[in-house]
Formats: sequence, structure tokens, C-alpha cells
Amino acid sequence: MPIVRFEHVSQTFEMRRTGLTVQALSDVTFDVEEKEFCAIVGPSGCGKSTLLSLLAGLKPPSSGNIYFRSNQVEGINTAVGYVTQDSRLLPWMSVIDNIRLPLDIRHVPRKERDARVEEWISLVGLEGFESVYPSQLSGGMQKRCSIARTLVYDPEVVLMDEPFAAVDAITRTVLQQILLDLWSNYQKTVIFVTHDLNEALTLADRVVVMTRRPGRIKAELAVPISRPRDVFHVAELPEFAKIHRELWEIFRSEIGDEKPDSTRFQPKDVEFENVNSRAKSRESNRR
Amino acid sequence: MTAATDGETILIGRGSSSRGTGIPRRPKTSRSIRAAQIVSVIVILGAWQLADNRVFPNYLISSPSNVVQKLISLLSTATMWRNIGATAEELALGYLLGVVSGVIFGVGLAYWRVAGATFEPLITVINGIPKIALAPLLLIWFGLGLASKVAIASMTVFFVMFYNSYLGVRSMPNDLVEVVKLMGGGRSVVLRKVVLPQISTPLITGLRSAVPFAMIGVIVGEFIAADKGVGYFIRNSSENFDSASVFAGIVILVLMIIVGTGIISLFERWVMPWRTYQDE
Repeated sequence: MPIVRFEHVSQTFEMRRTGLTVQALSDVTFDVEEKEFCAIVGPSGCGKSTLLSLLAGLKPPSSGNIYFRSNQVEGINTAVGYVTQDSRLLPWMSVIDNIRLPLDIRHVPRKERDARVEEWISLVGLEGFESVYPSQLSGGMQKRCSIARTLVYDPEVVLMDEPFAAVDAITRTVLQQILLDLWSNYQKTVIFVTHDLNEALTLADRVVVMTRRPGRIKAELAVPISRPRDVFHVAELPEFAKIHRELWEIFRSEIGDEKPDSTRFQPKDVEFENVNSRAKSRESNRR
Repeated sequence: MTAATDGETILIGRGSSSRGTGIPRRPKTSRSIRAAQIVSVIVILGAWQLADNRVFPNYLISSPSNVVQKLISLLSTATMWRNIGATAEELALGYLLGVVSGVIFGVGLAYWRVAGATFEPLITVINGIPKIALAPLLLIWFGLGLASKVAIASMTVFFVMFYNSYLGVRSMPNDLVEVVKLMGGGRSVVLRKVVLPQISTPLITGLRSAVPFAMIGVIVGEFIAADKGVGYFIRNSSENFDSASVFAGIVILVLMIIVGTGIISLFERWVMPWRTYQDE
């Protein structure tokens, strides 16, 4: 049995004001193996973040089952660590207190706790910033703190929801390298949500491609790039170019599926600009 | 600010946006504006001094020099200090009582949704009453001494604190609660690490703005019926057409409010150092 299994998972939301129902996920089934680095890519609003919050047990799915180590997820799943898009640090705690909090909650003995906190502060490169408050940190450093806070308590599975979307390109590359190094040293299971194809291919063993809303699994793709990977140069490899082309083809056919009435989807990714132009031309045709 | 003595690390990464930095940075007052402020005060005081006995009779408006003289002589009398002491005691007790009851009701009703939904409209209506109009009633209930002033002050403070804590809890960001729950935090951890620090911001805002409100309550009580206190002194002086004493009493009240708010600010810096950093 894989460590994580999504089985025919569907999710619908009811908009509070309007009463409209929106289907976020439709019959999603896939597994994540232990120690795997699995990326989930898809256009904005395809429900990929919803998958993570379902696995974390923050809400129940409308239908279908989610298993964690053969147990159905019911309620908060404290075996996962969740790195969200915004860092969600507690603003009233210093860096060191933020990282220490999960260990305090888990009653880790003091000596071990302090050693682990110190280790993670240096692993993510936050030495010298221990007593600083989150509001004084740059976005990239908040991210480092958020990652350390999640990994310090050694969760069995790490969920990452577009963790690097809000930081600048150079910081992002540096953080990706840190993440890859940590992953190869600690061999955690990682589920990494992103809408950036390059990021997915750079980091993951396997890429799960989702469709537009309502999100379904479009394809699964193994990434045949050897490890350890050098984030700064991995895109220059011929096998990277090949798999990127393959992944892009899948996206292209996905765009071709577009149904005429689903005009509410607003793609944010540059890769999707041709959808935009098509939508525009459709609009002008109507006039 | 004095709290930011961690060294040069503070300077790194400034200007980054993050949760909770909703407080705009206060722009530094430029030197010319500061000068204009001082000049305008001097002009007003000068005009007042000149108007005395030329435009208006002294018993109506007094003059700045008279007020200062009066203030100095008053502060050397035991009676005045007895008045200040009485007002300070009423202020402190009324403030504390109002804060404690307001926070308990505010947090309680916010947590207990059914009660909150039931009582919110009622409390809004009661809050619409000018509280001062209830002062004579409270004097009948609690007598002419300390208790009635404490009651009036705590009533005004109660509503300020009630609203701040009620809205503070209701606007709790769910994502931080989720983060702590995922770490394995139970109810008490969520309460201690997220809820209380989160509502401390509106609470402190309430604590600060409640000081002048408490003062209004106390002074009104003393105006209506009292045998000591700064409010009593002001009313007495005005009945004797001693406007210098009236102004001196007002200056004393302002100083007391400044001291009170200063104590609250010190308290704020002590319990919430992270806010002081953001405020800089």
C-alpha cells in the first residue's frame, strides 16, 4: 500500500453569498509512494491546493476516500507537515520560537528540542536571525523559517502548496536547491503543488498533471533525470528538454479540450496566454 | 525605539510585507512642521494672554500666566492632592472593572456563538445610549461616594473593551489556527499561542482608548455629586467664577490622562514586543 492514496475523490464548494456550487475536484485517483517527491501541476483554480488540504484533514471530501498509511483521513492529520503559499508564521513569535513551537507541542525533551531547532536554523541558513520577528524578515527568509518549522518535527509526509510562488526568481532557485538537498538527505515523502512546469520537473520524481476545473488527473509522468540534481543547471540537460516538451504537449491538448461555456477560468500562467487570446477572439466574435 | 536593540540584524529585510504589519509607519515629523506647531501654540497662548481683561474680563477667561501661578500654588496644597488622589482612585478602579468585565463578556460572547447572536443587537442598542445620561441613575443606585464614580467609569470602559475583544475574536484568522492544529496543537495551545496574541492587538487598542473614556465617566460623576475629586474641584471653582482654577483643574486632568495612557503603552511594550518592532 502506498503511503498516500486518493480514491475517487470529488469536492464541491458552495459559495456562501450566491449559493452557487463550484466543483473543484472530480473523481481524482492517484497514489504517492513512500519517499517519493511527487509534484502536482495544473492551471490556477484546478483544485490542486484542495487536494493538499483534504489530505491534511482540514476538511472532508464531498465524496471518495483519502488514505494515509491505509487509514482513512478523518479530521486533522498531524502526520503531515504543511508548507503553505503564505508562510503563516506566528507574528508574535521570534524565528526560533516559531521553529520550536511544534517540538514544544509534541513534548520533545528540552535538550533534543534545542539541538534540533539549532540544526534546522543552520540547515535553512537563518543563523543570526533567531530572535528576529517574522515581520522583519524578507519573503524568502520567511519561507526558510516556514520550511524549517515544518521539517523540524519530522512529519512523515510534507505537503507544499506553491511554497516559492511569492518569492523572486533567484531566491526561488536557491530555496529549490535547499529543498532538494534536504530531501535527498532526509528522504521524506513530498507532495509539491505548483503551476510552474520547470519547477515541477526540476524537483520531482513524478509529475501528476491536472486538468482545468473541475480538476481531474490528466496524466502522470515519471521524470527521468538523475539525482543529485543541480537546480541551477538542470534545465540545460537534454533529458530535461525532452520531458519538458512531453509535459507541454499534455498541457497543449488540455487547452484544446476547452469547453465553450467554461469562460470563468482565468489563466494566470504565461503558458496559457493562448487560451486568453482565444477567449478574447470568441468574445469579439459574439459582438 | 528602545526595544529594537538587537543589533544590526534588525535592519536586514526591512520593508518586507508580512502578516500583521497593518500598522502604517508614522512619517517622521519634519523640523519645519515641528517649528510651526510650537509657533501656533505660542500664538494661541499669547492671544489668550492679550485678550485677558482687554477683550474679556479676567473672571471669565483668566490668562495663561494666572493659570500657571494657580497650578503651582494648588499643587502645594494637601486638599488638591486629596482631590487628585480621589479622582485617580476612581479612575483606576472604574477602568480595571470595566476592562475585566468587558473582556470577559466580549471573548465569552464571541466564543459562544448562540449567546453572541442573541445579545449582540441588545448590546448595540444599549451602546447607542449616551452613557452619561445614565449617570444620575447610577448615582441613585450607588450613592454619592466612590462607588457611583467607579460604576459610571466602568460602564463607559466596558463597552469599549467589549466591542474590541468581541470583534477581535470574531476576526480570528483561521489559517494560523489550522497551522497550529496540524502541528498537533490542541485547544489550549491554540488559545495560548494564537487566540490570545491575536486579540491582544485590538485589546491594547481598546485599553488605550478606554483611558479618556474612564476619565469622562469619573468627571461627570464628580460634577453631579461629590465632596472631593478634580471634577468636584472644577465645578466648585466655576461656581465661584474662579476660571484660573478651572483651567488648572483641566490641565491636571490632561496630565492624569497622559500618565494613564503612558502606563498602558509601557504595558503594551512589555506584553507585545513584536508590535513595537512594527510600529517603529
